[in-house]
Amino acid sequence: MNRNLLQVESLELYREDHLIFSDISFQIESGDHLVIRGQNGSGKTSLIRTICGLTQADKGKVLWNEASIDESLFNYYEQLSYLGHKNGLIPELTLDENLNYGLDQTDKDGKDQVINGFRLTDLKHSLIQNLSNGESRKTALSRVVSSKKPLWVLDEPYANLDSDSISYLNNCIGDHINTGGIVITSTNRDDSIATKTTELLIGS
Amino acid sequence: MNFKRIYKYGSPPNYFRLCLKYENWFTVPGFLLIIIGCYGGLFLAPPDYQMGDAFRIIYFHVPSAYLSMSAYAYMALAALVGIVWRSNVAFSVAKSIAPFGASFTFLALVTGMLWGKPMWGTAWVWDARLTSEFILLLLYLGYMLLHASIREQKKADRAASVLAIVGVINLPIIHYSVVWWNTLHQASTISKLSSPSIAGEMLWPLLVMIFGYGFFFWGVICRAGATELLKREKRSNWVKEYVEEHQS
Amino acid sequence: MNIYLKIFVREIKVSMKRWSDILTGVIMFVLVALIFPLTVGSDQMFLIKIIGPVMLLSALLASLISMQNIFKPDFLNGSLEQLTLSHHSLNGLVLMKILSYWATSSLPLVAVSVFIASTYYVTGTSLIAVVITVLLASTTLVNITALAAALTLSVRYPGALMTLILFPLSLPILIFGSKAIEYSIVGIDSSGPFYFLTGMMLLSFSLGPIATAFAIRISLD
Repeated sequence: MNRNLLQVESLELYREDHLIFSDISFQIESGDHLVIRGQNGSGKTSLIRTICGLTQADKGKVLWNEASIDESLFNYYEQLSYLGHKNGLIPELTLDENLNYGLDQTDKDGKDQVINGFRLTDLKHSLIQNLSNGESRKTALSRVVSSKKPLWVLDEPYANLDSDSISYLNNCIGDHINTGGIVITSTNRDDSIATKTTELLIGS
Repeated sequence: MNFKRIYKYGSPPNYFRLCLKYENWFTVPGFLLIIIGCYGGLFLAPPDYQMGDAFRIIYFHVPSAYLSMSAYAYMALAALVGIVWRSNVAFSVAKSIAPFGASFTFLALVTGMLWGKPMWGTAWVWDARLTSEFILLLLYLGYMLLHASIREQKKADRAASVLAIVGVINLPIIHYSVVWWNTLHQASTISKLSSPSIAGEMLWPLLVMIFGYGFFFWGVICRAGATELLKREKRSNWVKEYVEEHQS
Repeated sequence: MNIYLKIFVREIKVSMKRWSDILTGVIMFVLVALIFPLTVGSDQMFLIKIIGPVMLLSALLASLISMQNIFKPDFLNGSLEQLTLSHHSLNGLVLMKILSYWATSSLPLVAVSVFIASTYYVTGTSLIAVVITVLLASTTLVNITALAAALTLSVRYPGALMTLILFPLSLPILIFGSKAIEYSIVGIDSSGPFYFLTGMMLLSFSLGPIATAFAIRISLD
């Protein structure tokens, strides 16, 4: 994989008159795992959405390989796989269909392996609406993990997960950064879950 | 870059200062022209041989109608500038034009109906221009309601601006489809209206009124836009400085 | 498979699973159209005269009642933000969504309009004219509805607002659609209105998806 570089320069965001975050700067490159820590309501999700270009910051900018993402949105999105609060799965379709009709190119073996790792193989042909919260979350995570994109941005990936899945997800993240990927996750837990991380604390 | 100059010129504090400085250059001539126009239209112009004194409402109807339509175009233009350059100045101008545009549309409708009563014997006739004026009112209301329904200012600005731009593309289509539909039904009624050979002494107060309305409108928009901008930029330093300056 | 085709197929599949939404629109269309003969009487001359406006009004109301279904479910389950984050053209993806929405919500109306027109005593070539008018008008309507739905995505109770946005924008279609049907039935040359409807269809398909995609990005902000 090519070396990639994500730079965030003094981001500032207001919602109406309420300051969500200000003066956030960092720089991460291939092989980094950034954990954004903060309490509920500290603006983790807003920051993540701003990094993905979904929300427009009032000040500052996000640069991918030294180009502002506003100017090269498609290049950026070609490298980005995002999982938000919402799983982005269509409840009326089965797990398998959801992964197949996704927008990213995936290879079948890699996908099966990931589904297996999350222990979802038996549920492959169940509708998403019949799955539990944790199972849906794992399906959504499988989509990100099996996408071959270098940058993963995961909002609260550990919520609703059992310990086996957490360790499997950590393995996947570990493999990904070892092969030159970049991962950004957010969490409201204090204990560290993954190893080898850079941390960013937001909110007071 | 040329854009940088526009940015600098259209920066909020600059715009605000310009507005306050030149506001009176619009409002004062506007008032004077309206007073002259009123006097000319209501006292100097001779009564119409067909409609008598009732025709004098034209001096309020026509300027309102002109202004209501051009205001929509200005609003859409400001909305476009706002979207392209993400300019808070343009968004606040667009937002402050809407209620005035809607008011003038409403005024044009009411005066049109008042005029219609002696003309056609009934207040409402499905005349093409009245109908498209009504549709214009709906477009203004749609803009304002959409803006008011979205809680976040930034989002509301951009969404309502898209609607304003789509509206301005659609406005001529709507207008001509209404005209086309109308000509099939009552071509005779509007021809009475559209071909009055207006005499010079009747015409000049009308022109004066049209310009007076225009000047007045821009004076009001200067102030309303500046106020709107002040509200939006209350976090920024220039507003704090301005307030401190004027408190002492 | 081509990504746009894939999304089109996916959307069709999902709409089929949400068949009750499709049915709601069709029921609305039929009910509105059938209320007129029941209330104004079954005079043949009169019904033939009002079939044009009735068809377009029913189509407008049907699209109004089901227009929330085009983006709202995807907005709520998060797949809409995944769509905007793809490296494929959002305009193209939105076009696919609009097309599939048209195929599942408006094509049934076109089919049903044959039945309704015959209850209004329309026969022969006029029947074809009615069908073509509904077909052409619904393509423009679906673009306008998509835009209105995208703009009001983050509004909690958008009902009245949507009507207010939809009505002025769809007025030309209502006028020309009614004329197209009226002229064909009366036997005047109806090519003018049909050209207009076709032109509006092309205009709305070329600008509609772009504006809608932009509105979606705004609503997700």
